[in-house]
Amino acid sequence: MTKILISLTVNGDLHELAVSGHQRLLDVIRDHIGLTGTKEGCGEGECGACTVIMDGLPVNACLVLAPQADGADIVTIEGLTVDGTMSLLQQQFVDKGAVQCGFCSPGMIMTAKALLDGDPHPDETAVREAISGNLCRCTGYEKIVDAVLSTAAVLASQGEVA
Amino acid sequence: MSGMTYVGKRIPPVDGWERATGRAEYVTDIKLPGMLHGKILRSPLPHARLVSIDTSAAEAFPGVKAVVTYADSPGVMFGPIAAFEDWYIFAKDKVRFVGEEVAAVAAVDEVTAAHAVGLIKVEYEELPAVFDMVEAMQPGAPNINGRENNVVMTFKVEHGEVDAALAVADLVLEQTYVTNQVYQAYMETMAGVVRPEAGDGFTMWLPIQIPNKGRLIYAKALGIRPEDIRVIKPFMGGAFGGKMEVNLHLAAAVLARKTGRPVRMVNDRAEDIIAGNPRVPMRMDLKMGFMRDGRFTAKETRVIGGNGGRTVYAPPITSTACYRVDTLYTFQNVRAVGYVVDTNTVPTGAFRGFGNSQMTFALESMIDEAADRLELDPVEIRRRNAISSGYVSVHGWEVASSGQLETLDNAARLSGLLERRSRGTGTGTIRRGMGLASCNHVSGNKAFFPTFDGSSSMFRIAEDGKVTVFHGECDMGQGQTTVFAQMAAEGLGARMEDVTIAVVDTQVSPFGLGSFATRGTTIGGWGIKKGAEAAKELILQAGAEHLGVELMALETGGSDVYVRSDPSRRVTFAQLSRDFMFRNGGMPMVAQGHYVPNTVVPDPTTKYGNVSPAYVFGTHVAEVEVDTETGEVIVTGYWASHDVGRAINPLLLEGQVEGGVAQGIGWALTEDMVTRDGHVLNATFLDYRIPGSKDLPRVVSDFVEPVDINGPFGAKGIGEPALNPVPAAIANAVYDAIGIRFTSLPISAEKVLFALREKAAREGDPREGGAAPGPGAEEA
Amino acid sequence: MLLQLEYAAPASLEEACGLLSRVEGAVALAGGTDVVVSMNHGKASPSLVVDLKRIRGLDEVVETDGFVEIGALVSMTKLMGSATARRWFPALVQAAASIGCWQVRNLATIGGNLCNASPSADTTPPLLIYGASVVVSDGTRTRESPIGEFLVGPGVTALAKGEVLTTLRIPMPPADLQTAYVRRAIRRSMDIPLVNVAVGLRLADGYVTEARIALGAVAPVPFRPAEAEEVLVGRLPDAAAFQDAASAAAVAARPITDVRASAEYRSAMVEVFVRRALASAIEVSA
Repeated sequence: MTKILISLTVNGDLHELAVSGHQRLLDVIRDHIGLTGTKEGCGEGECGACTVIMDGLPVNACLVLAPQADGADIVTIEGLTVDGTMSLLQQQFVDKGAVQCGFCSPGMIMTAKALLDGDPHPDETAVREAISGNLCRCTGYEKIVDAVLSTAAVLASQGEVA
Repeated sequence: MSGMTYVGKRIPPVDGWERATGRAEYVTDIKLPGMLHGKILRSPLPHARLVSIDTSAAEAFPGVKAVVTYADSPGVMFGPIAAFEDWYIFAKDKVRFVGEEVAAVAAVDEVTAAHAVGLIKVEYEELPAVFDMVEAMQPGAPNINGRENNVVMTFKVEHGEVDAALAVADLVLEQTYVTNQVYQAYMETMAGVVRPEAGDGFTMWLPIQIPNKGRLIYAKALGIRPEDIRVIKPFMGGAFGGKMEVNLHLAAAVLARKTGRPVRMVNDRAEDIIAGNPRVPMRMDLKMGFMRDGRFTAKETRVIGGNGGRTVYAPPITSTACYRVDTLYTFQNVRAVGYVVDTNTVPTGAFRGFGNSQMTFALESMIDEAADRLELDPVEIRRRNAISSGYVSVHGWEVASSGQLETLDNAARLSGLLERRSRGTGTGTIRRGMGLASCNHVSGNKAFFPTFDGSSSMFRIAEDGKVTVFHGECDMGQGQTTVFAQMAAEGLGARMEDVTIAVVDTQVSPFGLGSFATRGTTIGGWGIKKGAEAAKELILQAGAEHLGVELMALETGGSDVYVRSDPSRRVTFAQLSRDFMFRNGGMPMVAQGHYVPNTVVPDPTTKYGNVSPAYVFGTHVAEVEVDTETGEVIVTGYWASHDVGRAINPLLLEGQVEGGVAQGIGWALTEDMVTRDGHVLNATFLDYRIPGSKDLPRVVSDFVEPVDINGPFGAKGIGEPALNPVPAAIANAVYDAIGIRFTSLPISAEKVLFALREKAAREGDPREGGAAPGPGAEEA
Repeated sequence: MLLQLEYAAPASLEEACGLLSRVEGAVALAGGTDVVVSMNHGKASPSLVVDLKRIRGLDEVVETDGFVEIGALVSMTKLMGSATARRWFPALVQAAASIGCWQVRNLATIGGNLCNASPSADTTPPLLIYGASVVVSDGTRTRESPIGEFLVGPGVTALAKGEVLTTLRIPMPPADLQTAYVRRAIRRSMDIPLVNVAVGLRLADGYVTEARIALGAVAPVPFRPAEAEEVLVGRLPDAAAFQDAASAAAVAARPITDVRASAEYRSAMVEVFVRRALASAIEVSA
């Protein structure tokens, strides 16, 4: 089986890897690069636990074949912590009690980040719509929505981006 | 106990940052040198004799390091419950459900292992199968485990004079309720990493609710001693009852022993759905007598619970369904019989509520109907029968504190139920309705593991004043670590940031039972508080010596020991423990404490006996909208009031309530394991529908704090009661909206639409009962 | 999961078609939201995936002479964001917006959705009412055929081996065409429709002059029930007319019972949602 050489940027770092056609971007991130923050929950794009931001948009890493990620710019949950300090969005998730078991959290936070990057002032309906592809079994979503809205509110008052 | 530093505060999870940054290591994130990947060959048939297994092609496949079957295992029959041991690690002579483990492969990667599984040739001789619990009990039904009429257990309990009490009742209601089989749907599937050690032992990294209890069972299955197994429980991605004993862990161990290498095994989602341990489906015949003023005179029930192909926890779940609700109200005359029945379907296990949730659906629906008939409102009828603090139930359950009345009043008041319900008066396509339901639960259960209940902890104060707390319970994502840290800090007088709750590692941690029966905060919390008190005693003594004052004059706070009357005279924990260590050959400052609840195992015949140190109550109100053209039921509002003794952390309590309500809404409306001939047809998250962000309302939570004398800081539990009342609250709300009672779950749109049509065709009496399909598997 | 899979990302349509026609077991890959899922479920075991995403020129939305051409690789998100698509084909954009979730819409393509040929595909009923046709290429020549002829059966299209769907060609609808797209799904988050309906109405002097109705998920292939459409012509667009059309549509539908719903329920939903779609189409422009 032919290996394919791909080169992709993950959280600002360039990686050059030999991958197989059947592998997924999720496998590249978790196994090849070793960033295990991104989780596998279903392997079929139905739960969002594997959400990463690819070329600016949230996607299910379990649906992207590894070779398709050649040349892509990927941001995973690990990329949101800068110099050991987590982002405001992550802090809000913790402070609002939006993290329980945490398995959905990385994917959920990436979707939320992508939302706020594109729409700094979402209302509750827009937040619920944006995260409707991220399943959570612990929280009932309420504090997750609160965390996203409060992040937006804080950023608005600071005049910054997520 | 006012003026506490940490208890009662909205404190974010102490380990939240690890989960929110992706730093937290779950079992599936673990990589060990030389680690292999395992996959299980699962039976494709519901009932068949194993004629032959040919593993040669699989073994020869490049990258495969071992293929194992029953022959590679100790061949011991075991199981979670001593009286009902019917598990093998791999099927011995026959398979009893689709998904049963037949063999397993360890290979260099998961894809190779999965492929090799497909190369194992198994010859089956198909046997007649039975899927429906009632059918399985009939003479002549295919026999699964050699039990007469496939009955695993018969449970009987009776108190008072049921027949006489029914005879004097002004109203007697009789109804059959059916609850379906639903799946815990935790986001992290079942998984394990098992490493063989020298000799017979293993180290197992497991997302397991019962690290210590589990290894007792696993030791038996593997033919070794419990101390030969070291269980380490890392971060867990949810469990809700489904991650107790898991055969996958044992399959990994067999592979690890054969290969001499660590083996990682993870269920994919479809596997987890078909071969997990879903909720026990139940058929409950309920009969109750009521006086005109709403007093309950008697209650009689017959419960049939589906076991599946082997026994996980259906027996205690079914017995719980039979009589836990007897301590929800002041019942004096009760009779119950419960049957657990083998069927050729996936083995059923514990899921938030543990039988009490199933029976709560039945009871709270019937009480609602009675209220309607007797022209009482739903709050009034329950108040008439409510339990007050100090009550002892017919089964000897000692309810030291009860906040039931307050939860009833608060839920009604916050929701405006009595003023805002529709009582079937809605017109138009969309009909609104509101419904109420209450629940009770335990905070621990001595009956579950008769030889032991209680909890303990060890506190180690390091030379820098940091405190590490060791316990044997289980944070499965519910926030136990944070609550323990709060209690530890409060009890010891340390700063919370100086407290670390250690990872549960059976090599170091005290023996603990783990998370089930909503015992963590109450029983586990006591273990922490006792340990904290012992540690406080130790540090105070050291402080007394250091400051030259007597012990009585000292207090702790902020990780310091200080003179109560002159707080400027103080010394840090750091200094005290450093001095201690250096004076005592490096010995650390260690204290331990324990708690044994004053509970008993129920009498085997009468079932009498106080099983839990504390009991909890809750009342929910649901508001729904029913689209009468599509049958769709949407929950548009929700209020939940819970008696929690004392709220240790309101932020986390709200999270538990919101999550429990979400699971209850899924169970009530959209979740169902659809099966045909023993096969699950909807084993994906596409077709097994748990609520998403657009499917749920906001929940208004309220907490009542009667401060239970038997709870640490007065606290009782929340985990399971958060879900128990939900299906009934919704069913009662649907009745309020459209005048149809649904006595089976889920209340799907299809069911509602056809019931509405039937009702319209009858030009009907709005009190006519709703659809009540037969028990067991439902067809699409 | 597959043990092995060859991957190719040709830069040209010619090369892609060549690979697809020559290699046994080759399949085309766009967003992967269907193909990769099938592979993971063991429902498909291709030997080679031919990634079309490197081919230039297949992901634009372009107005041409009286037509709009939508490239097969246009993602659902891109379609939703296209001012041209929103202007001319609001029902199609509405349908795209109801697919899956944001993550899936960022990957899924209109061409992929069509070629997957699911009876419940959201984009098909709108494409039917807009009279879309598909342009298919074998690398050298192209051919065009109406959507209705392109979709042959559940999961089956008229695509021959070596052919690639390149474009959707849709005539610009009359300015007075009032459209709507509705669907019935069990869950609001991330679900597949049990029934989906697209409608288009034209009125003159208050009477219906043209009615277009397309039904999905209730037949092997989404279709336009002619009888239901005819019932509306010449009538006032009122509740009675909508009910008659809905009843006729329900008669024409041939739903099946599956794990999601019974045939009986789907039939009932055809009626309800054709009514709702028609009412919605009128409301929107009122």
